[in-house]
Amino acid sequence: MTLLTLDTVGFAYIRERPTLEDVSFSLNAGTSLGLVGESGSGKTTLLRLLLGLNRPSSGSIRFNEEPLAAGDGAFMRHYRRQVQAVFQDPYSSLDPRRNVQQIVSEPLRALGIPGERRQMVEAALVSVGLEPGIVSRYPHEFSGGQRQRIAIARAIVARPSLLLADEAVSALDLSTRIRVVELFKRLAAEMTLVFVSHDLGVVAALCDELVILQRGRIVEAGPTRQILSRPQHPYTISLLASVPRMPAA
Amino acid sequence: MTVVAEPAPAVRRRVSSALIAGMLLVGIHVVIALLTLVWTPYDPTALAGMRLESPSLLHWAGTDRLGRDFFTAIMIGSRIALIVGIGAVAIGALIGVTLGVLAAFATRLADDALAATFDILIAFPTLLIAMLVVAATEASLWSSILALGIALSAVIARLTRILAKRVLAMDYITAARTSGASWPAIVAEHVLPNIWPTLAVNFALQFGIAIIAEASLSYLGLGAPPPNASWGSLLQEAQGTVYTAPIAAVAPGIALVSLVIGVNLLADGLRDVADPSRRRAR
Amino acid sequence: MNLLEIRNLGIRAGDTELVSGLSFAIAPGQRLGLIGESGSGKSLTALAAIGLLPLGLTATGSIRLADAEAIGARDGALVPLRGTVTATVFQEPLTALDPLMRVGRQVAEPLSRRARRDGRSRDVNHEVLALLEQVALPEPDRIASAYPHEISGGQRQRVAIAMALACQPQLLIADEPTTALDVTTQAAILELLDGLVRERNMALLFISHDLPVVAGIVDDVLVLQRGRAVEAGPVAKVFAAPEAAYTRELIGAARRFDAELGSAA
Repeated sequence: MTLLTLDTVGFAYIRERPTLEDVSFSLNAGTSLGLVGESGSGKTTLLRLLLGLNRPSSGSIRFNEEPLAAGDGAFMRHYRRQVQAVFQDPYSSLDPRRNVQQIVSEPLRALGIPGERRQMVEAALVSVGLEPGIVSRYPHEFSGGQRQRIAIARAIVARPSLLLADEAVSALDLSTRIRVVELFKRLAAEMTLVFVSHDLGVVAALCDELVILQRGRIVEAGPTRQILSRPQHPYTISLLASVPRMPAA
Repeated sequence: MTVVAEPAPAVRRRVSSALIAGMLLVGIHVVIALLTLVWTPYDPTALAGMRLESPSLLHWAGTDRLGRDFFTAIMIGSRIALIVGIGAVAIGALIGVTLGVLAAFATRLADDALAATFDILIAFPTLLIAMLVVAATEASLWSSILALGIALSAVIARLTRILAKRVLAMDYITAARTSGASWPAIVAEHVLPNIWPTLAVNFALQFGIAIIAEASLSYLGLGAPPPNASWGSLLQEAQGTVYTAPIAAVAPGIALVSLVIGVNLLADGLRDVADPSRRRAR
Repeated sequence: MNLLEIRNLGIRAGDTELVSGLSFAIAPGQRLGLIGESGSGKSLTALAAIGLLPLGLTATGSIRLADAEAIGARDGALVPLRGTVTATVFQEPLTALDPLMRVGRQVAEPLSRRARRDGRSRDVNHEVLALLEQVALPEPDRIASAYPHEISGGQRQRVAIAMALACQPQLLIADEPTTALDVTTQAAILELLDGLVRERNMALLFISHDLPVVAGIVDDVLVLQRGRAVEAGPVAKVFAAPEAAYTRELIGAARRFDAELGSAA
């Protein structure tokens, strides 16, 4: 079943210099898609479009066959129950003045989701590998990796069908990064995942399919294994060649 | 793609000597002010002694040129100063924070216009604005408070706008939006609590400014008339007798200085206490 | 004589120990990699080596920079050493350059200071252009008259490297020099650094959390965890057969991601 379809989507802050041009792809439910690009590739803008924070200048985005009406309040409430996000910086994505319970329950309160909130928050915390007892503590008491888990708990507490991750492990240490990638792998089994990253090793570990972006355009797309073993586009080839490799064991 | 450093070891919250000294000084004035509500050595309007008596056991600060007890007048000055300070800051905060938050959300053009307006108002001396407002109304305690509140609101609005903009750029605001929160909820739950610590320190400083400004207004004859006479009025009356009865100028002066220094120390101390758990800069 | 000799270095912030018991040395021409995650103290060690620890931190032990003791030294005593014995390239090219000064003028500063010390003429314009060419910047005269925000991140980092090389240091300290750059730019900068260090026979202290990056540019590594050295040795040996549990964990994680990329490239 097709969950997400983008049809010749374009976006420009300034008309002469589009940030995104002619972006088209579709995403089936249950797959995990990696959006790969360096700075200036437009990947962050694309994510913002998928989150309804900006409207495309051209083209269309369809979610579950319905057009994404970013201006329609009622539609967006319904959309946001289905689509949630995790951001890059664990030190800026949690409100320092709110405790874990308030942070993780925010989607439940804002979207008016019925149910015993305390229980739902604790269940979310457990599924990201955190102790349920931390609900009364504040962000500054946690490490970067733990904060990112709290952010992930917030994203999944409403049980969305699509999870968008924007460089969600880039700011983490190596040893923490691998554990959070494992967490995303487990989550990808239960929901559809779109993972934006510049790090090919990470998307290779997580994603079934890749879309490679350069300067706002898709230069290559397809199954991960295929792109990694037989890259076609010169940019993809240079990207792969530039990734520093471990010395042979 | 930068590696974010772990926060530096948190500095333990230190209740500084500034905070203690500030609380002490301000506390003394608060106690005196509260006391005047129920008791003063003499009735402030009563002609309790000879004119311009020197300090004695009967009249600790002597009497003024009409024979009223001076110490009573000084004590009441504490009450007036605190009422003015709190009132002016409250009005300034109400107007200023509202305008500042609205400006933070404004689109480019409106934002520039508002920012320019704040800056123009700030360019006017606080006193001048206050004088204009008092001149338009009648000189009274409430007109002083209103005038000073309006004068302070521009500074508070500008600070609020900058602080709110900084908060609005944080990822947790984006996360709140994608969680479905409405803008009013975001302002109430995320923006205001995060700008509050810095604003509170600023309010404390404005408190001191308001007190001095009110004293200046009174000194110029635009302040509240007796029995709400403030230290500024007393200082104005003391001009004629500064050689014969120096206590008339020194006592209100000491009272004014002690309260304002106390308020500034309190603001300093509050700044040390405000949110030490906040992460350090990367 | 070792260019940098660190013995039993300890760095504290109040009651907290950020680095303890650290000892290592760098001989002329040697390349050492300092590997650590955040909180390992690797950047603090580099700052301490050149006497630039932030206020509030105290260092104990011994840091000898070409035979001069850096701990407890007056800043004035260390100034002549900075630039000539050792120069540093930092992580963030955006903040390493003064945004209000043209690039050429910034590169000229260390050059003219050195010229003044040597008693030469202070017209260093062609030296500036020569340096910019050496860091493989195209159109050096255009870059020299540009402001930092007018050139790309990779170009800014090349300028920072040029400034570091201006006084012909014997030891180059690079603290996460490519972490803030795109991966394609990173590869180019690493190649540049490798080439320059080799041409000038410099010693290199390369600090990073990125294992494959470090492995590609140094001969020996020192692994730091929470301010302590947990393992040291030649890079090939440490990466192939790590002994400490922490090192094994790091190498294991890096190999996991590396394996996902397959045998491509």
